[in-house]
Amino acid sequence: MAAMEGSLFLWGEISTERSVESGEYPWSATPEELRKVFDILRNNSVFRAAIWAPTTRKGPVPSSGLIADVTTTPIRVSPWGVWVFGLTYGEAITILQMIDGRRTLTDGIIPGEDMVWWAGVLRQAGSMVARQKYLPDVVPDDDVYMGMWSPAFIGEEAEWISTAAAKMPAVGRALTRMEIKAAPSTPAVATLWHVISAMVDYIVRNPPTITGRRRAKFDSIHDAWLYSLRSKHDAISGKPALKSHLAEQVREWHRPIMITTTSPFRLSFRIEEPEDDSDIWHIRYLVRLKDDPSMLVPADIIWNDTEQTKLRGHLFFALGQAAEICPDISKNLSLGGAGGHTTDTEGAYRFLVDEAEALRQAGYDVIVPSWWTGRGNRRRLTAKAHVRSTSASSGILNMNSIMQFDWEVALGDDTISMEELEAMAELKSSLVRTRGMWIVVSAEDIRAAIELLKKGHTRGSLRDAVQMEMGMGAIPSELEWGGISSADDLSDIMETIKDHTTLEDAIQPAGFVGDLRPYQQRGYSWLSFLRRWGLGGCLADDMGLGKTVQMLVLLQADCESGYKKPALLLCPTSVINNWKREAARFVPDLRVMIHHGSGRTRGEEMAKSVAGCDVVVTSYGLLLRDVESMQKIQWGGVILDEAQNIKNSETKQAHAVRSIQSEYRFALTGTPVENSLTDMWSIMEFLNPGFLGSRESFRKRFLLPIQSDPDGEVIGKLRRATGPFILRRLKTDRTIISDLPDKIEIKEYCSMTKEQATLYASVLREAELILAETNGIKRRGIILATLSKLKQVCNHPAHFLRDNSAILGRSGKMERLREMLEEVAESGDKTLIFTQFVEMGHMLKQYIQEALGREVLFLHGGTTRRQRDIVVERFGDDDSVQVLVVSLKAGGTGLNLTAANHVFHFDRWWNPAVEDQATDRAFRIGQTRNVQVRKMICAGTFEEKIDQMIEQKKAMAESVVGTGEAWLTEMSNDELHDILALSQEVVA
Amino acid sequence: MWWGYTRRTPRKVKGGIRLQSTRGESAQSWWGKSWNQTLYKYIEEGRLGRGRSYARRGMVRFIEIKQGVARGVVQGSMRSPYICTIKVRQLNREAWGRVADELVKKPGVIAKMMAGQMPKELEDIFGSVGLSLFPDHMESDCDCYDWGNPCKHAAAVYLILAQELDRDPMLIMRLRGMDQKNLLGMMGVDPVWDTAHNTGESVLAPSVSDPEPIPLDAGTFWGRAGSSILPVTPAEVPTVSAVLPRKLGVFPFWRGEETFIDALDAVYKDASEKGMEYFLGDDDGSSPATK
Repeated sequence: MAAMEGSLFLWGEISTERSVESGEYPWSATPEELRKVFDILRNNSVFRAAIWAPTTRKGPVPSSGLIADVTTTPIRVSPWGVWVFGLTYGEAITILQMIDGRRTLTDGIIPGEDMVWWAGVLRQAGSMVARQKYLPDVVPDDDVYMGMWSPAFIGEEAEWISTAAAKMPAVGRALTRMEIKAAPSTPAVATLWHVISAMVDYIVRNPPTITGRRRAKFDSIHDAWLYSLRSKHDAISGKPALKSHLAEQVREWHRPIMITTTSPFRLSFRIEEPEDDSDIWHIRYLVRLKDDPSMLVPADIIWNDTEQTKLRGHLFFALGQAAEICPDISKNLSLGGAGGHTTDTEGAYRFLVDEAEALRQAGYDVIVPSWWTGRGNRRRLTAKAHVRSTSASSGILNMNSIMQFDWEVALGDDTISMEELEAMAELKSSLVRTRGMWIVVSAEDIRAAIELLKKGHTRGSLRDAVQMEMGMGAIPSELEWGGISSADDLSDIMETIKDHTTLEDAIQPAGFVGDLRPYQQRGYSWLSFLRRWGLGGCLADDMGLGKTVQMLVLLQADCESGYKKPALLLCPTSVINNWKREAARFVPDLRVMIHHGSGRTRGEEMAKSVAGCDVVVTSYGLLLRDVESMQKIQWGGVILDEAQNIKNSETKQAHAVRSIQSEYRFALTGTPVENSLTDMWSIMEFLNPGFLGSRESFRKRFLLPIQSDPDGEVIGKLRRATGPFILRRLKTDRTIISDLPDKIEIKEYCSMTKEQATLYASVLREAELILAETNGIKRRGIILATLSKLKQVCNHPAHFLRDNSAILGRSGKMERLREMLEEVAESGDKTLIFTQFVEMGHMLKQYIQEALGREVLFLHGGTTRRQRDIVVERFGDDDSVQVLVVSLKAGGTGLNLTAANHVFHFDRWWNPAVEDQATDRAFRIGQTRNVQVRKMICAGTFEEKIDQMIEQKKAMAESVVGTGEAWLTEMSNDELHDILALSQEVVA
Repeated sequence: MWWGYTRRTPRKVKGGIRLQSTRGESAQSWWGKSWNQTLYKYIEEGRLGRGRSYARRGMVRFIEIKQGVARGVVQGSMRSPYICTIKVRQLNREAWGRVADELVKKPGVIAKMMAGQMPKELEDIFGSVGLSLFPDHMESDCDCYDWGNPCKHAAAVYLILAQELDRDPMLIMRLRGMDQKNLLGMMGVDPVWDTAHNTGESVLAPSVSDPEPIPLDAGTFWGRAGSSILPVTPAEVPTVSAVLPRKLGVFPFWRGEETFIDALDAVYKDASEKGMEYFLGDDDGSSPATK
């Protein structure tokens, strides 16, 4: 999207290069292609315009490697013809709202960096309108004068416009009409100003308050102006002389703002607390030059320097305005003081509470002591509770036990007595110094505190106490919650909930085969603690840290303790097989039932089959279909794998999941749920219903304030409240790194789609028919060819069919890869993907690019040496490139690709040495992080069988199993069939 | 004595300069009110009432201010309007010199005036050198038939000047014969309002910098991935609306039918909610809350 002549225009790039006339941009999207993406572009004017882009000897450099090669060095800026759509501001705004915050619109449609930037400009326009930082204005345009609402960049955002302009991608101002022969040179600031003014004007004006046919006659030019501001007709009607006089009057009226914006400095006020026991606070006036913001000069130096007439002029104005806001400054000015003034504690309190904010809003800097700004540190009276069990809560404690809350009032850690409160109430000042610290006590707080102490005690459940302790409970006072002061026998639980590092290790069940790494042991102990108390938790460890095994150990422990009720485990179809295989490996005694496929049971029958097992694994999709049968079963727990599947709380899926009753609930996810607050609410609502309040109250209490002020107090409050229920360890955490081996190898079992399974079976059938009648070298040839075909089917049907057909949704392996790459992309890590097949490499590159909206690099045998060097260098240095696909016979021996710390083997060589060599591109000297290596295997196919045989071979000294595939050709037809045939449970 | 005078109702004027206050004083500030005191001292009650109602109904069609003089065009009952001149007694050079000597000792006074306030001390300064800030005498000249002086037309002009004084206290200096620039010069201060800025461009626009060529570097040109996300100022809807235009004061010589600030207030209130929607964007929180 680019601005030209005060309007915005949309154009697009497409990765297919067209044979075009000279002077045309080779990748310009056609009007039809653009209309397909934005169906609002029905009746817009479409024409060809010139984009002035960096150009090499060969032609323009496109925006991204997604389009074409970007590695050449431009030598000049030249115009290239592109198709552009003229947009009204209404349309431009609609489009920008669509793309706001998204990397892709749909697969393959990626907003340019300039659009991301314009979307930010729109949000800023919205913010300025919300805060009413704009003024009615008159903008002359030749003979026409327009009534406009113009943004006023003063106060907090005085510097915003230059900061934003500096970030503007120049393409946003590089568009001209075809006939223009000179490159555009409108400064970014000017372009930005025109567009953000138009956006502000659009938002304020629409829908217009005055409608109907255009009015042309007015009693005065001022009436005409007001009309132009409130109707859709922005041209002011009236005689030219009157309009130009109006423009002068508007300028005169705006004058104070203009003085502020052209000031060469900002005036700052710094309040300093008394150094001794006196009651004298200093408020100093300081000047911070815009040219050198690090310098703070006492204002009286300029005030008294009669040589500095210009600076003095601005200082006079700035101090004069400040005097209006703050009476003490006014008084001081009258006395001739311009360096600062002093005040008593009461004055300091007034300054901190009211005047500082007013000054800040007027555009002054105010520097306050750290104890005042330090968010949450501002010490106040708080309500604390002493919690103890009552006679009604005899027996074993659980979350529903009834507790007594004895209320007290505290200041920090000190309890405040009724007498002290009454003494405080007598004090005039609200700012009190205790033990060398300044604290704020408002009259309302004192009143609320006295009330609370009179109330004495209340009752509630242990769950209430937990909720309060997290800052989410309803407390019987307007005071801020200060925490639980003591909780007798409960203090251990409370401490552990808040701080899981104090957890005692849970005992590993005997039936667990394997070792837990130290952090996994902690994770398992955490899960089992929450499980014991019936609290829901979300294990959100980074991908590759072993969430599955931690969960499985908990299930096994439950089972060994004699717990009979089964757990329901929900996951995406693509990982059902993975769960089954991980369970078989780590907890072989656990009875796992896969509820999947057309043969699955329902109703009564299902209840019967479930009764015989410990865990039922099914997909989110099937839960929806069989939800009624599921609801009838008495579940011990419900566990969600890839819990981001319920991130939208209003989907049927999320409703269905919440409708299943159980005694405990867990969620597993590798994506940082805390990044999106609504996602987090949805998952928390599943885990601990009601804890964060209703969706609407959550929106009011957290979402809106946090969106308005992302670094404010509210986000911290939310983190404290949810922290106990979310355990997230990053593989970069120092404590985790030391627990991790340098290289983790993981087998990723994928399910096949129905199409893949059908193709697989038919390839095999065909091959077996021929094999029955051939032998010798020919037979070998056929076996090797068959293996290759089956591999292709496992990779992707389109890979086998070679028909350039659609990619999406047809390969279980590909979908699984995509899910994992999305997680990796979130963390900013880089990935290598190895495949034996060049065609597959091309498909992977295209598919991943469209899915992630980022350029994917590709190295294969046809890559020239020079290109190869560029690819390697870009993969190492360019942060926008995260994925490199490699299809080289020798796995690219000699390449150094240590920027990657994830390696995927999309298909297999069946030769550990070759695969390790490939892996070592990333895992070699220079690699500072640990590397995760994943070998992708289609479950139930020959890929899995051969993998098992190789694993067994590693254990045996000598074996028939060789490396590579040649040994397979020596097998009998029956032996071959055993290896190649599909087992029943593979289809997704 | 018969002067051929018949009482007629004044003609209706549309689009004249209107007093923005619909009751009581024409000015809000103490200095605007003090300015009016001189008028009250000289005018007869009935004429004052009629003059005030003239000013409120927008009968003053035009006002021109020069050093020491304000000239108004006021519609009366006759077809052609009256020209009405108000002469303010100017201080001579010597008197201004005395004032300036005192002002230099109290720069705070000028600072406040530049920011749109008139400190009471200004009156004291004038008094300390034996002068008075506001003219103690009023001289007007109108071509109407009323022999009473000041007439209602002069009153209307006078009251509107008070309103303008509210917004721009420095106007008193000009009416008293002192150019603002000269006065500031005596104080060792440049006028911060640079008249050279009158280029026709909105004063809210950033000053235009030099031409900025399209960069040759492809990364800078297209924008590097992830570097184009803009910081946005956090938004909230203010509790008091239209603070900014209120701070700028009454629009100079407002002629509109509606009261200016009321008309704006309604727009600002409506728009805040709309702005919030654009700021928040997708309400399902697509914007990450953590950094």
